[in-house]
Amino acid sequence: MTTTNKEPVLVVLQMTGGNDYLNTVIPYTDGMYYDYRPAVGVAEQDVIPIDSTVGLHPEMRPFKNAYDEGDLAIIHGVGYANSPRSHFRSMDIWHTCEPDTLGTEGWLGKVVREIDPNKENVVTAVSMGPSMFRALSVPGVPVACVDNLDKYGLMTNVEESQQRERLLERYKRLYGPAVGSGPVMDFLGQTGLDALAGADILKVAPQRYESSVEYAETSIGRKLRSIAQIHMADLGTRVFYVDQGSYDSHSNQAGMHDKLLADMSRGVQDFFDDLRAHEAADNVIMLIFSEFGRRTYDNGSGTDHGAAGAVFMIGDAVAGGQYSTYPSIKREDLEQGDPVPNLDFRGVYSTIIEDWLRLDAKSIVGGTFEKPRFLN
Amino acid sequence: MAHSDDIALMAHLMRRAGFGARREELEARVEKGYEATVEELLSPDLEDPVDIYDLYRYQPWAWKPGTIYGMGHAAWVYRMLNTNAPLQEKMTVFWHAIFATGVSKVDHWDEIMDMIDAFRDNGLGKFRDIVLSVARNPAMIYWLDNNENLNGRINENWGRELLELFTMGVTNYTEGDVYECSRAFTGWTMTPKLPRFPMGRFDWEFEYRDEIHDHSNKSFLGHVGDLSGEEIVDIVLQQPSTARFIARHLYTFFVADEAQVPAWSVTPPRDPDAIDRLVEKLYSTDYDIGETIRFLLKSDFFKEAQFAKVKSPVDVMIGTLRLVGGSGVPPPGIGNLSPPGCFNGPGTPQPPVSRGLAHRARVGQQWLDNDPYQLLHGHGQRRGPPWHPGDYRRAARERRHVSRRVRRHVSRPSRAARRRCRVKTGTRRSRLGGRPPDMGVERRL
Repeated sequence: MTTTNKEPVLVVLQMTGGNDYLNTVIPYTDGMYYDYRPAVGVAEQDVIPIDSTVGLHPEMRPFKNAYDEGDLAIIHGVGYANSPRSHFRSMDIWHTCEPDTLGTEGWLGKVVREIDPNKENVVTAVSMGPSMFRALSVPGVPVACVDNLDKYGLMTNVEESQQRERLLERYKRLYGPAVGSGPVMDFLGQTGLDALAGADILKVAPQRYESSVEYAETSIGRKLRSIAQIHMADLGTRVFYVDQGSYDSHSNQAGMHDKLLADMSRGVQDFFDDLRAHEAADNVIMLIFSEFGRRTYDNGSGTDHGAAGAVFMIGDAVAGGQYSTYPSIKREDLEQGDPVPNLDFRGVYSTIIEDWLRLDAKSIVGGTFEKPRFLN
Repeated sequence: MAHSDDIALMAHLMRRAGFGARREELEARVEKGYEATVEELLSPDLEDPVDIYDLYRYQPWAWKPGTIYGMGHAAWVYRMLNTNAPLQEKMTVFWHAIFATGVSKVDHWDEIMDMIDAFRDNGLGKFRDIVLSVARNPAMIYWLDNNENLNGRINENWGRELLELFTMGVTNYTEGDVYECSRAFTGWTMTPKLPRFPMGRFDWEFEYRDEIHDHSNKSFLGHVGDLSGEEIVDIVLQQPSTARFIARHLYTFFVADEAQVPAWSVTPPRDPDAIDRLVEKLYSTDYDIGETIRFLLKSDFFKEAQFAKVKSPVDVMIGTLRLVGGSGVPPPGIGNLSPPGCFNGPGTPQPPVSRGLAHRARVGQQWLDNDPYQLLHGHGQRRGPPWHPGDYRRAARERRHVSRRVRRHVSRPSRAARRRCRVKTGTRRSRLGGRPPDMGVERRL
């Protein structure tokens, strides 16, 4: 049996590429929806009803189960004003909470700085993926970027352990003196040393892990399993970040979106099953978001970039249900062809920061925003 | 003996306008002079071309690699390692970073490499030609779904990214402009050069199909009419935002690290005066990229920007291998230089820097987050044996050896044999329509 230190942990799952809100949480009883979407609309009989107005995509059965258990919060119409409908700019805004200016600091990087101001643990935050997400980026805050936990580390191709030790020793000597010799060299040296330290700490996680839960063999499934391994190894990691995609469904949306949602829902279910089986679930919540929703009208094959989206929060500590309201899809209420966001994403972050991580949200998200109360 | 300041400046020039240079080359170039070197860099056609056949005879599948993982852009890597015209090759990286595509979706290297070849051919030419060649490139058409953009079924993917990522930058157009622009590009599609069945997959080529083009009036950035794709590009080039956008790309690539691209709409340039002058140059030369780069490389703001950039993985990799020396026969394992792990992190195969400037908005210090950092230092760890500079030196020795052997044992083929070779090559060109081998076989033998 694994026990965790029970400090609150946040897992962020980013649906990269712009997830189609209208085909994820579907207004299946609204005739307008079917008028707008002759090519990609989901047939009423296939939708998994949540209530008399909205239902989940047919591939999201695990989410319906979580909803019925009271562990899933569906937050409607999340976004921000004047969406530029650009993947890159929009992702920057979600990551830095700066819609009007250049954000240099990621919101979760600031969270990590608050949690671990003296940088005592280089794995306080773990980013799953080949590159770091801007949300975690704050100068001087270490974040371990892990693409493949089993292969994580430096020079893992060097099999002779003695030779590897010698190489690593040389790297340490290379990085060590760089610190203190100017900002760029400091950064280089510190990043190198952090990577070395992080690699050593994280390599224990797969060894300590044993589970009867079999994750689906998907990219997101493997990454979530790695997160479970690190979480249960009790290394003090408080923030995990992972993404899945691409949800950029301009063409041939039906098949691709089905697969993405199926993989995502199944992965999330396996992850929480695993955590629960090890009594390691009660201090974990998961935030699932995308940088924007998609257009109301389909384009004959898929959907183009839009504005408002849905956010999901999952976990034992989450008060299940629906929050905010589904934005109107009446023609006269659309803005540039899209449903208008009615809840600022920084409010969702504020709830997480204040009511879950117990930090001050105002300085991190840059203001005070309406907080949906989705925690028990 | 050259003055050390001159050497330092020349080294700076060669790092930015190329992949670095060795001491002997720097000294020789200082001797020739800075201006003369700039002119030389801007005249790639005067240099000996890379003999790509040195690669193909050892790694035949590097030509038209199709879907072969790893070998996909080996030919590009080989050219970067061996080119005598480094600025020309650097421009392929510059344009690819803006007009990024990847096999994660395109699933066929040949079209992507065709685009890289086009950047090599006209990367120092007029920006209008570059944009239009990209607009007609099958990899881009498929990458941004323009093959699904037809009258009455408008797909906005290409139309939006043309404005956002390739020319004007976010916030400089309306959602209406995106839609109207997309309409103007309806019918810009592609077709296989040969039917796929029964023989397999063949390359694609651009095709304009008028019957699916939307001919009704469009209203785009204040212009109204039955605008064509070409006319859209012309209107876009008139926008001050486009000249600024390209000027900032040139600055951040050649001069000094800037904020990430999506933030340009809200962040002033690091050196506003330099950007203004680059904008002026672009305007006054009708977006002549070579002229603008000539101006840039000779400017004080360029010369004063030594060490103001963090190297991208492609600079580190290619620069290091060129510095440790040798060119010639690719040693076994050049494919190991191609996997993305070496260039921009693991994942789906992507050409170098496709996660670069535009696509993932990664510049400067962002290359140094710690996983890519590990990859830079542990390159080659993902597959196959590690690439070691020693391999390269061994390769150079082998090349000398092989050339001797070739000279000794291979006699010039008969006239008839050479004619057969020509016919065969010619046939291949007309059937596949692609870039034929550049007759290197004949020349070398």
